[in-house]
Amino acid sequence: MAISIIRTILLFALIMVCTRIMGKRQLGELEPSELVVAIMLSDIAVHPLQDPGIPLLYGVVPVLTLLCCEIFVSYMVVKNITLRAIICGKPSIIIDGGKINQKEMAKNRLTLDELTVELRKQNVTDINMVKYAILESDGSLSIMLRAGDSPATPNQMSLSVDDPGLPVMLISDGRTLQNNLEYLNLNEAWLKNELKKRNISKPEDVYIFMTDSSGNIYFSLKEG
Amino acid sequence: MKKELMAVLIFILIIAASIFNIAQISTLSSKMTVLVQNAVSSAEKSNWEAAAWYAESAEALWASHKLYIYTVFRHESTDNISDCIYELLSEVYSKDPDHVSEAAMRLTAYLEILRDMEKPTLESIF
Repeated sequence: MAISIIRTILLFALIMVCTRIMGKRQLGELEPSELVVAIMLSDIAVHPLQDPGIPLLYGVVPVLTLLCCEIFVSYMVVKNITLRAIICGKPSIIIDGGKINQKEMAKNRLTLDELTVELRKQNVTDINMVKYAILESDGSLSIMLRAGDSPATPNQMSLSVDDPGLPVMLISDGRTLQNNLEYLNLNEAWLKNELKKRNISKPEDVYIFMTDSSGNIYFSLKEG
Repeated sequence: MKKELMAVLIFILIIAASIFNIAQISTLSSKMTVLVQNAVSSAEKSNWEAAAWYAESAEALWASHKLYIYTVFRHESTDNISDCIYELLSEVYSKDPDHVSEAAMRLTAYLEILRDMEKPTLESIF
């Protein structure tokens, strides 16, 4: 049991270091410690299932140890900025003020093809449009367009627009969601009244009924 | 903070369980070894009744820890020890002192391996 704990901690640390050395591109939107746990968990948990000769504890103890490691590491990176930079890495500015930073490209082993693919995924076909491109610590690329190429916002055009708020589902597949009604400070009487206005006799006939704090409603009746 | 406290608690629990496990297997293995050695020395003196009693006591002691043993150790290792215990018993019943010593040596060696496997030494970790 003690050996399982020590081995799990050692392998966790080793895979963490390897993941950090491999760089951000390998992460795929997971933080290094999350990726390590994901890699290890899937394998550890399966062994006692595949072999009845291995006690369940051989799966349980490493899983619990990994859980503790992940929570400790997450806690430490939240509390300590230096440790966060070491464990999770820092974002890299790939395009700085419209200029591709070749040093950062090389450091992150990012090719021009990969950069253009990432830009195209975000509907950017012309690098000239990009003012900043940042390779985040989780491996994703964030892009800030030049002011002239960014979509105009209502504020920039001095327009006033309604803020609809968060749409909330009130009926799901015929069931009234009481918690969501309470969240919007509404009640069943209000809901029944709204259904009546739309010639619906009971909530059971509704497939989906959504509303937001501005009172916009979307609904669809059950088919058949 | 709740999660962090829970993680600390779980970590303390599994460390405590592993320390308990090391102590438990060390005690069990020492008790078994003493019984087996007594069986061998009785067999060497041709006191087969006493040898049988010691070997049967070792078997009973091992059987009484079956749940713990099968929960914590690989079944392959524990099955090897069970086989050695039955081999020792059969040699004692056949009243063959040389074979009793051989079976006892194999049994104590397996017990030692099982005990050492649980100790956090460089050999067992790597």
